[in-house]
Amino acid sequence: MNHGWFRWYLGRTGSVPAALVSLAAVALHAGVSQVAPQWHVFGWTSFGVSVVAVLVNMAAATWLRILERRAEPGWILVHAGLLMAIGAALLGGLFATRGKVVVREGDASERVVDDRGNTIAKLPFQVLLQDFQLEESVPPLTLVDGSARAIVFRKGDPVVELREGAKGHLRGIEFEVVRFLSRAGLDHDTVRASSDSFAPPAALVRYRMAGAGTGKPEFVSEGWITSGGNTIPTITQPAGVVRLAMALPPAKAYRSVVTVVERGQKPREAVIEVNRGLSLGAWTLQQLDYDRLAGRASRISILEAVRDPFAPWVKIGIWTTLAGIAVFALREWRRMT
Amino acid sequence: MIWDFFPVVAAAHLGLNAAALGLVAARRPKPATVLVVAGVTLLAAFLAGIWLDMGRPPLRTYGETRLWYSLGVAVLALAIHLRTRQTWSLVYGASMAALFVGITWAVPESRSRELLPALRSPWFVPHVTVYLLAYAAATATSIAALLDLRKPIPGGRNLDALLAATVVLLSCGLLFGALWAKQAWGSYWTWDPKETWAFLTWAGYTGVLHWRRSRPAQATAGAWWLVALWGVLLLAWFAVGYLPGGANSVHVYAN
Repeated sequence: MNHGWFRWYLGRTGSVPAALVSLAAVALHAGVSQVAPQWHVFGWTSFGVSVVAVLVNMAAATWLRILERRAEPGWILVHAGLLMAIGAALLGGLFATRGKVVVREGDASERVVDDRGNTIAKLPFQVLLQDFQLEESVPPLTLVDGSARAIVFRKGDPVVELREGAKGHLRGIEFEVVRFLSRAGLDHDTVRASSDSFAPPAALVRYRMAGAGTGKPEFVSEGWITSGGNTIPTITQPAGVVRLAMALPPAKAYRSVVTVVERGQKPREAVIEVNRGLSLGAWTLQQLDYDRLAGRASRISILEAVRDPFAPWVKIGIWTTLAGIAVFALREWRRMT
Repeated sequence: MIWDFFPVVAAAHLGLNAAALGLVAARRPKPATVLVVAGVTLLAAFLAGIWLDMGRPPLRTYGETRLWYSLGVAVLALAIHLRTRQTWSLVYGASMAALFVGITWAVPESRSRELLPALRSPWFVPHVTVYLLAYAAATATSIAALLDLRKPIPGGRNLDALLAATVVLLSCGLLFGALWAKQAWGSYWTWDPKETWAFLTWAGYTGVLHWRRSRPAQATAGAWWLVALWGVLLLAWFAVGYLPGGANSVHVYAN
């Protein structure tokens, strides 16, 4: 394959101008997609062609450098790694299966569905959801309008997490969290700790409206606030033209405790969590979502199921590129004067 | 909260860097270097303090990332200065570090101790810190390019080294992000708005690196691109949330 015409061809397709044109074409598609969805402007075909052009360019340039024995290790690793990663990702985009597995506590599912709920694949095993667990963060204090219908908390207002003993100032209101109950309920108009595992939190807040300099008398009050739930209605406290309220506690972590049931195999327990997926044969399951309205009481877990035979090659490509970058960086540092 | 002491830290940091700039103007680079080092130490200690106090890496909000950027530009400027003995790097480091600390002081933002589930990953700290170092290197590259356009340095060696550092760091940030995305969302890449702008920034700097290395005689055109690319970088860093579709980005954590 060392014919002159072949080298000439590699020289043209693997040239820097060809690299810049193909890279610019991908960047143009990507940039336009930020203004209008790219399939409305160019279509996925032209986008795919421009990505393939980048791959052809890198392949030709790498091949030529190896033929001409003028390859630096860093250069070869970076370009070969990128070629492998992007090429495998492109093939994965064409041939991978990606969908959701929606499963209820106590139920099992093997159906992989698309966004419309149509079955697109069946897993070679069943996923039985034993338990969906959600840990909540400490809820922050927020401000709502006088009718308690709209949040008037603004970006830049200090976030005050309603931990016991927390103190703060918010728009001239000085306050202190006297007590915090992670699960609260109402017992004859009195807020008390609740044993219900889905009960919402509540905070007893003592607050003072600074009257100094305004000519208004100082106003001191104390009362419970809660975002509300199954054991207690939403409670806010009046503070001038606004009301103190508890924001919905944000999720800190959520996970699915599952049992994987496969014909002829022993059932296997596993935990699937954000950033901690589960690989089973050709499939990978990731924790995607849950019933947001139910929050901590969600009995539904939404998992993402991916079967991508090319994913390992993407990973190898990425690590190869990183190794090349390290070699390249070392050489550049030595050259810097 | 240690954040409550930020006005004092910011004022001291601005004072140190302003004094360093004065000393550079008076052609006294050695004491200027000492003051920039003092600013770096102060900021590093403050970041370590808020990290311990908040119980999470202070890399979540724009304000927090601006402080890391300030730290990164000053460290990079010191490294360039110690390696090359050029004083422009001190001017760049002191002024950019002070500017971004000043912006953080002037722009209040809500601060929370909590971290979203997707951010609870071993990739969080390396991905974001490498990106902020990349932004620092890119800023140095763009400033060096501007200086080079005004008064070209024969060979342009330092500009090319800075550009290489920028591309190395941007590439690492991009690839760390891809590895993290695979863990968190099951895909290495999804053309999310933040990813797309990160790609555009990377493509721009990588394209210029290739252009300058293959056509050294026509490197000036590449220098203009480097100046313009800093705008793209700022857009990718701060403005993605305001672009069409940006609000739906899975990378918008600050709100």
